[in-house]
Amino acid sequence: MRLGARGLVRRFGTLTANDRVDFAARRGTVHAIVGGNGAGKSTLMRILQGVDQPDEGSVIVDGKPVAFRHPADAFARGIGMVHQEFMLVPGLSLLENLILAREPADALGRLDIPAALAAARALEHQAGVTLDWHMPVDDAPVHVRQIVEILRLLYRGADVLILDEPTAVLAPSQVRDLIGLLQRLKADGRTILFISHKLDEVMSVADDITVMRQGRVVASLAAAATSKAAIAEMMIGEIVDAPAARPASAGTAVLSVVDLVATDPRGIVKLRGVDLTVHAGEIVAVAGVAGNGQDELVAAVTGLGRRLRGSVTLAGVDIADLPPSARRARGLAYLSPDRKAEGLCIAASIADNTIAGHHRRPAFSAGGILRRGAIARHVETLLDRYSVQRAASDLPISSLSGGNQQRVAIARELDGAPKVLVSCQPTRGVDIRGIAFIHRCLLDYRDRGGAVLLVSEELDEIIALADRIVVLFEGRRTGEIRRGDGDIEAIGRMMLGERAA
Amino acid sequence: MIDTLFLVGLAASALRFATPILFAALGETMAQRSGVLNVGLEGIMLVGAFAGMVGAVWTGSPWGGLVIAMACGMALAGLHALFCLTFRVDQILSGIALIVLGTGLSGFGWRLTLGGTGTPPKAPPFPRLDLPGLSDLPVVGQILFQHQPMVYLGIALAFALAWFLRRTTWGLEIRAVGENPAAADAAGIGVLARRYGCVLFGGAMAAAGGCYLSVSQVGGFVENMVSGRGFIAIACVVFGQWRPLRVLCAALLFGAAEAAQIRLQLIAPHIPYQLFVMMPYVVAVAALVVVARSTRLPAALGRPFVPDR
Repeated sequence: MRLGARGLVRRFGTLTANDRVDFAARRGTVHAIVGGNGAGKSTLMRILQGVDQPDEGSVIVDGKPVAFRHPADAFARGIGMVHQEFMLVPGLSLLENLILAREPADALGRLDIPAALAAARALEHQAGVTLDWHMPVDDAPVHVRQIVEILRLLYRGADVLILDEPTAVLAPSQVRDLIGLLQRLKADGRTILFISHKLDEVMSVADDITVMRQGRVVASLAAAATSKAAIAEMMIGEIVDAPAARPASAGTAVLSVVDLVATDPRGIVKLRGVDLTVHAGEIVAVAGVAGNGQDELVAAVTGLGRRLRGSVTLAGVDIADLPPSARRARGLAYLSPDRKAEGLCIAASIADNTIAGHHRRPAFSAGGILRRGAIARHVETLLDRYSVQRAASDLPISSLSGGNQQRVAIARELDGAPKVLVSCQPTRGVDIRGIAFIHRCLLDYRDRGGAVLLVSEELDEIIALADRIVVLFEGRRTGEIRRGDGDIEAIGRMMLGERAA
Repeated sequence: MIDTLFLVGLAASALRFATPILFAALGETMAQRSGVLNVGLEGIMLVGAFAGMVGAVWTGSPWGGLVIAMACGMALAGLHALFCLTFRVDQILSGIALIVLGTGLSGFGWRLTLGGTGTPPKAPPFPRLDLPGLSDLPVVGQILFQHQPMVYLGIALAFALAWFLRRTTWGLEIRAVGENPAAADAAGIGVLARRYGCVLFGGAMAAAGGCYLSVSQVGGFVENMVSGRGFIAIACVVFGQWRPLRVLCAALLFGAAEAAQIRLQLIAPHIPYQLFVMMPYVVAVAALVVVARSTRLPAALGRPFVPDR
């Protein structure tokens, strides 16, 4: 065994993020760790690379327990991590990034560029890729940066590579290339820990699979001895078994989108004619691999992006040409996927964030002057109702955990009875209990007659919440599934472009 | 020919006027490449001008003055580094404090020392260094090779820093620290140490520029004598897009503007001289407008580094 864990426990307050986790990755294999959001994968990774320390149990390297205090300790044992947000330095060339902090140089510190290039070529050869090493990182496409990140770990002597959701940023053909690269590295005797919740990829690359759910290891088995369906069932567990009750009837159409064509911020057409309707009392989820038009759909509906063609109707009124403020005034609420940059003002107080956007209501201000007393009373009531754990509401919202920040955002968006809620990645970076609470909020809102457009990269979330699932692939609909009609595999196939029969 | 003489004189004096700005701008280039903005150059240059003058008189040598000026410049820059890097104070605020502090220290220090004595003693100037052979070349020799040593040093420093940034491990690591300190830290590079080094170097260079100004160019110290050159130097860094050789060109441009405006005052006495005095600053604003759009500054410039541990 090259890398593993024995009885690993990590608690954060009352939450047990890792509960007696055991696994063993054999040398020269690809070991996948799968699980939904909040399954404890990230915590485990942080411990394995020495960023975090376990409360009980230990990390096992080469069959012996070890205690990592720093990432450097893990690296000294040959364990390196490829992060989701790549740790490359802009403004430097690919070659400079490769050799950073391990530069070949003479005693005076003069860089030996030929030696660096020779090392780079050797790695290239091993990995079976070809790169333009003098290209600035800023000009390199995402999959090239990822390769450089991997080669950099090899250059620095790592033989265990931990990849955290490496395919999230890749197009399907690039995913195949990455899998090919990983297989070549494996053939050279390297050990790869592959964290993912995309089962197709896991089944095609992994030798062994460890399934995690709610902080525990559910199963550890050989990929050859199992199936995608079996893994999916273990991953999702009781969530799929206990779908929330569907109300008797969906109401009138609240939000309709007809023949919508929209571009991303760079002007590239990402949404190519999509029709979609959300009724009162209904959650419609949009599923798809990231970058297949979901962001542009949301931007066109909320008014935050460019629309080329098509209509957006809210409760019978065409809102397609209205600015975001006017759309909000007509009953549109928007839960942003990017809490820190868009959803909240991270430096402002909890209270200010709770009323932001509603601050012109007569209840909160008169003649441009804020009514502090009325605001404070409203904020306390609202935050208590959403159980936001806080020391005081005038502290900056950055003092809250991700889950509590999201509770503030959702409390604000649902305050004032909106007609439709556009909810993007509502549980990103939120722990298990927070996820359950947010799901409850969305379902309650639906049961009160609200319409929800849900965009999520978490398939289990979509399956747990949605009354209807619309699948997007390359900016077009590839299918629609009603609750109970389809299985995870059918959705997965449509996400990869296969049309529904 | 009068015209040739005039142009040669103009070019040679452009080089001299560029030198104090060049030193300060090159030092600031290094500080900013490491991710630290120091808007307090003006204050450090003033202290350098004062300390250089006093040091030159006391030690009887301009080189002694230069060493003392650089030490004082490093002390002030050390204060900036301490506030910005260790205590994570806003870099602009700390820089402005440095301007006020430097102005006060130099003015007050001058009155306490040489300025209080009626007629201040003259500092020994840097000797002119004609480079054998080269200085005798027609035109080129007069423009480039009949200067004081610090003029040559400034130009050499620009080339040396350009090479240093591109071709040495230190240079590579400084660039990494200024662009993505978190990645540099994860790779095992000491972010704060690199930044401290660059800020201290920047302070020494700004003070050296101030010392050249007082000891050599003006031949004495006057309160507020730097008169905006510290800001022009910052403009040079931006105009030169954080690359030493382009910063050199930018400094020469401003030097030329200053040399030209003095000559234009004499040629055209009927035009109010204030218009000419404005020239370097107008050039600075115009230059910044031109490059500002196409410029990519060091990604971590001005932001404190907080380790993720």
